[in-house]
Amino acid sequence: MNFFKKYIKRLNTPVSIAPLVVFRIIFGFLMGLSIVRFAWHGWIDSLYIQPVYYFSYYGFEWILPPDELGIYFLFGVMFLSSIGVMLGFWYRFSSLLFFLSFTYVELIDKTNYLNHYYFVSIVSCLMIFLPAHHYFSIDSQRNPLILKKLIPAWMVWAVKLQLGIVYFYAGIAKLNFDWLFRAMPLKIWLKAHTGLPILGELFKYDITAYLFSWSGAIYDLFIPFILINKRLRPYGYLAVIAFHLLTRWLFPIGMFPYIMIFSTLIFFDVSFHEKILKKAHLIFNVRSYQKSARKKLPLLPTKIIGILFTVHFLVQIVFPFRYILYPDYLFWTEEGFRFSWRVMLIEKAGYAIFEVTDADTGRKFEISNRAYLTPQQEKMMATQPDMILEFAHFLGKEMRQKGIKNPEIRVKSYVTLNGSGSRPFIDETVDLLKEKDSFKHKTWILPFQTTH
Amino acid sequence: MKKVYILIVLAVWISGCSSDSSSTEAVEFDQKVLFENLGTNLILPAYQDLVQKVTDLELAVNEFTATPNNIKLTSLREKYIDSYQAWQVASFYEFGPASAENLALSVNAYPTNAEEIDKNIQDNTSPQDNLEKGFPALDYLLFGIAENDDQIIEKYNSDALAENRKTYLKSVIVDLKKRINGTYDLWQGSYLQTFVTKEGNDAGSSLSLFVNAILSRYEADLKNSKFGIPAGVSVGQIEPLPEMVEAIYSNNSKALALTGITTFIEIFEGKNGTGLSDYLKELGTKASDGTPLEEKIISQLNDAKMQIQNLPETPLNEVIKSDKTPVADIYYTLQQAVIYLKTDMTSALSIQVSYQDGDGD
Repeated sequence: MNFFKKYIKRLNTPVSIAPLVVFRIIFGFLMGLSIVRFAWHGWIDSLYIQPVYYFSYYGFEWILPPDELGIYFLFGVMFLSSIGVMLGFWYRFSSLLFFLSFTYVELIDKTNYLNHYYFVSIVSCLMIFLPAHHYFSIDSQRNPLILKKLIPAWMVWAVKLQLGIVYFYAGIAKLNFDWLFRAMPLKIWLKAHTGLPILGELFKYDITAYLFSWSGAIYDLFIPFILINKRLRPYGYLAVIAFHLLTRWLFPIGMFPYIMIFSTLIFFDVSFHEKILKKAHLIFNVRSYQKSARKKLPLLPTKIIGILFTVHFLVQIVFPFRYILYPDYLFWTEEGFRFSWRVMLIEKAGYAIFEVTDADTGRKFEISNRAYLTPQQEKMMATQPDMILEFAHFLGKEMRQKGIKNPEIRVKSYVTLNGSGSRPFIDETVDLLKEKDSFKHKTWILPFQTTH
Repeated sequence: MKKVYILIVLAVWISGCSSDSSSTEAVEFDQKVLFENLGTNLILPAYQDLVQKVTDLELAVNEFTATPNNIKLTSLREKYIDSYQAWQVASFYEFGPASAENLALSVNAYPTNAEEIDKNIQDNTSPQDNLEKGFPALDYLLFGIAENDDQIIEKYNSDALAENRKTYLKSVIVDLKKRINGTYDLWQGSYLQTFVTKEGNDAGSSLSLFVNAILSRYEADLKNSKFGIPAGVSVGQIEPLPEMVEAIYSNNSKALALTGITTFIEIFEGKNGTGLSDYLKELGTKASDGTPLEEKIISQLNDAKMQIQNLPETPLNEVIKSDKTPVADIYYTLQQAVIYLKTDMTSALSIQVSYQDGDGD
């Protein structure tokens, strides 16, 4: 109990607000940039306007895709609120809006699930509760009463912990047979880059894939601890830069490497962040701490926020292990795969042919997936059972509309996982319209048979 | 430094222990060699031949329309069949220049819309839609507008609409030639160089463009349009639709399909040079039963080819009417190959289908 008290006390030690402020500015800026980049590539159109069908998340079927004007409006809100976060302008409102608009868009189509979007949703949600606008912000400029020099230590630690979890769990996820002892999927992916200068020569050899696999796992597992350690931090940060730039160079992973490179700056000492703000002071003539700030009541009492955060992190720690509750091979069924920091972990490709049977006449015919799905949607759907089921139910509705009263939908599907060679994926005798999605194991996924 | 050393030793040890003995062997594959072979030995010659055949075809059209008679019609039909065959060879490369010209759809959308073609001739207007032009329209104009050859010649001679019909025939060939020449010109210009140098595996790389294009043509045309749709086994239909076969008026479906599958095998193997099969071989990709993937694909494609060869010589629509099974079987054989091509092959080559961000680390 004494230990616990001491711990709580340490967490509540007042520390400088500077790291959080710098993080707010960086985060807001990178989000704004990501949105501009997203729009620039035409992805608002190709991902949220072009598709005729969207894959919902289980339990989030009420998230409806907005029309063209609506989606542009949402992205507009997202962009303006990210700038609001960066500038600390109506900060609580901006961060809330950013979290809501970003998360809403992510929930529209499961196809676009990325761990890094999940990360952004989480961080932006945490940001709503953190007083990152109490210094070097438009809010504090307009209302000096909120100026704050010190905040409880846990508020900075929360961000570090979240980053640490992302790395550490990505590391744990790599501790599997394929990654460590078959160097899969890197063995496949690196071979695609043998044309690159210098490194390409190394990628021709399997041993390079092993080296990358092992160093990747070691990096992910240990980097949070290295960054915490003052002495090792400079080397750790060099590793962060090298690691993420390398992945950026090899794989199409967008802004994520930059987000991680800049976010991990929060691990640096207070003095580092204060130096940055001091420099910034030379450019922007904003109010500094001097004026004594009167404590203004925050939105929620710190204690409640503390409890909420504790719950959040407990969930974060436990949730990725839910896959243990499912039988069969995680990478094959992907039951409990998402929201667990399993990044760049598997090479999977599949092909799914949907067959409609008119139960009244016994007649059968195939569906053209492309009539309803974009190439990317089709690709993602073919390897993920929950998406296959969702699509089958959508087809069922379509068929009923077309006048088939009692349609049955079966799927012939083949998937290759980490170079296993394509093998049957879903039980093709099962009428998928009779199956419902749930958190229970999907018995109609065929078991992954290892032939070697 | 010590740590790095330990790491390297560890990695060597692990890879030594792992089941594959190839850990120390290099995968030597130069995408450039593949693209050079495909570009200069397959794609460019295919278009070159097509341009030549279509030029000859245009000459034959002009001669026939000048003096429509039996000899000229026979010669014109020969040239038409040759061009259509040449198209089958060039039809898979629907990316870059060809997709800029929307080539496949504008030269070979079938079944052609005979009714609209007749109406266009009546109104003396040029083709309005893809289904009113290209090879399928020629098929109708040269074989389908009347019962027998003499009556067909009549239609271009003394028929009230003879002049209109000649004009229409000419406008079809002019459009065909324009698009085919346009595609060839682009390839001959700078595109070959672009194609050869765009290495990598992202969505804009030559590998991705090329593989996605040939697979999409294979599925849409060779598998679905030529067999699946007429046999009534693919895409949202319940009854067989025998009248949907390619080249229904000239009864040439089988020969065209045979050229299609033969060409696809040649493309996969790179003819006499480097092909996708060599790439897979070098990577050592295996199918689920342990056979080298390229062998599995080739044998599957050859099965399909043999089934096509074994089709009776009677018109394909007649075959389907009496028993659709052999045609449906071809469809399923072709589909099995798609599984290997789209799943195993694209995974082994880690080809991306879009520019979207992937999952970062």
